[in-house]
Amino acid sequence: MSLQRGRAFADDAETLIDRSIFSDPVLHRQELARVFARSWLFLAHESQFTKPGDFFTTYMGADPVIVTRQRDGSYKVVLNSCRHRGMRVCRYDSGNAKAFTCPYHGWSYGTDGALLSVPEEEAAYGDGLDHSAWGLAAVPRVETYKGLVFGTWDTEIPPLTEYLGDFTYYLDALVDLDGEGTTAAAGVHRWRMRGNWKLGAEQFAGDMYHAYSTHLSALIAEAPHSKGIRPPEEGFQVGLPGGHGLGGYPGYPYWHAQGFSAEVEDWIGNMLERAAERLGPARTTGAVFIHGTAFPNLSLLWNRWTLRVWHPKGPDAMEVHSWSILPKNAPPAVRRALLLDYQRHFSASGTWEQDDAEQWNYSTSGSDGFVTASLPLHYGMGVGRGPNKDFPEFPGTVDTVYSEINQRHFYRRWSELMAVPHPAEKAAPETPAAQSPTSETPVTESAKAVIA
Amino acid sequence: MTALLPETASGITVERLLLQYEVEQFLYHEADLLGRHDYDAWLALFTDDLRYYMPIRRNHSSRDPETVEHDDALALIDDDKPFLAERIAKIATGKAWADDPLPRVRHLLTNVVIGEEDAKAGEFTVTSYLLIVRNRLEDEQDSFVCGRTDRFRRTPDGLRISRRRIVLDQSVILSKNMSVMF
Repeated sequence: MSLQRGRAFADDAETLIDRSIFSDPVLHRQELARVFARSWLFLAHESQFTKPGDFFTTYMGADPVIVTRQRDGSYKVVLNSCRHRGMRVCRYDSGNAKAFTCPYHGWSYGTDGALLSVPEEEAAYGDGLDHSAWGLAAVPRVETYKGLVFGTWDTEIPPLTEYLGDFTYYLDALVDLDGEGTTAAAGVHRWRMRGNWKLGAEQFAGDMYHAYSTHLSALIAEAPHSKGIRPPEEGFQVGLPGGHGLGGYPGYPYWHAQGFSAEVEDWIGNMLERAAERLGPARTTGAVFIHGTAFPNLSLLWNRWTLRVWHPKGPDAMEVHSWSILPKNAPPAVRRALLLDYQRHFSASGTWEQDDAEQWNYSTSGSDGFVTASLPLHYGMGVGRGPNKDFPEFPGTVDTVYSEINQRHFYRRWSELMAVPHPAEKAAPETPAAQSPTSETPVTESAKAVIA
Repeated sequence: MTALLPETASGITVERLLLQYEVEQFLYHEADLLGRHDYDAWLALFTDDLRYYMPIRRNHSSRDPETVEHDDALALIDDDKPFLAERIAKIATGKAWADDPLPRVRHLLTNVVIGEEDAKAGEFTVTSYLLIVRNRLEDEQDSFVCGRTDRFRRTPDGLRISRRRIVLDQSVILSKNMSVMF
């Protein structure tokens, strides 16, 4: 199966999804170039770095990168691949370094990627090696938003805040509630599972619908300490330009349902009151944002104080990297309680997380069959429904809580990017014919800085 | 009080052999309960003040620690007994899709060594190696290799474990979930 006209949708009304986007290896290669190399990608939290030379290794799409704090406090992001034989120059998860020396032949690079030294250079190359041309490939643009570090290979993409757009209105309700900022708990949860990365990203973007079925066992098991506190019946989904989306409910005291001590419950309640004075009630005491995705692969759970990235590992596998993002000046008991709450429910061992992985696993593997893959999937929930007018302050297109408006936004943006080949892409036999994007968001043609 | 770990010049006594046997039989029994998914009986092997803990292991330089363990650091698992009971209650619903159908699980146990005695607490440590093999549905096959350090306490009900520290030999978890018990 190959994608028609570079679109995820199998129909003109954009309510059916072509299952090949979850399994086709050719499409996956294209997606690394057209989606991942053309989007702002989340890399790290600033609190992971305290001094110059502190580094953290991660991925941008399938490309391994090193994020390093520089002397001036900025971040440099370089490809973790020696320019000589391609060996990974740094094999640690994190640490502090003055230089990255390739273990293969000993080429040594500064933390900014500059080629510093080459063993036996005169005997090996004479004066024929131009150091300035053979540094580690540097990610051309790195920007931060309130403690979150992002990078992109695309030199012509809008600035990060413009790219996130109105998503920052909602993101602030995690990273800028009380004006004190956040820090990440030490460590990152990382786990690998079968399933296409988009199934995770789209679920976090817009799927409240799955909760009572997928997570039924967890809901039953934790009922004894939830004190009967449940979300209201009516909630919302918000679809945003650029493929971002989120969902939640009108304000309810969710933190009283999580088995916290009175001290922790009081602190959260009081902090939200303070936040309401800063940010207004609509996105603090007036609403609980639950799930969300900033396109393409950064997802949040506001009420669990966590964010994560879905790294693709081929078309049928992904690796999640997940952080606990905590209010910086919260008392230790509050940070501890929020950390454990996230960890016990949404890390690899988490009681909620376990059952999501099962769905993504067997939703993806079903796409292997010829007949199965030829049947498009139903993404039409909420089509034709008028806007939800209960949340007038919310920027974006607001629908009721059971809606797939955000999934459709997500795949519309994905389709726009997939319709335009990346200039550095090698011609693939099944490359779909390029076609002009159909929606209002322009696709930058450039992104030529893949290898500077 | 009688020493929990009686010693002689050779370090080997009949009492010590009996204790080694008792501990091994305890751990074999525990492994058998887990293989039969008898989680209620399994949970009863722990004291009420249990801490059941698995740190994250890092790929690190020789200058840095392998694990970061403090109250503000993530762990792979950090449970008390009530939360372990919640995990078990979840599986028992029959609606835990990651464990429905139940996996086929075997806990293979070796290298059981009785270690230090904490006479004041009435506890002693036992280290063991564990290979968990989990097979499920058609082609799911996971293995978890780990070392455990348990603190054993002699209670009126018999030996119980009050603290279990599990060190898993993975940095990125290579399974889609960690719903198995260690």
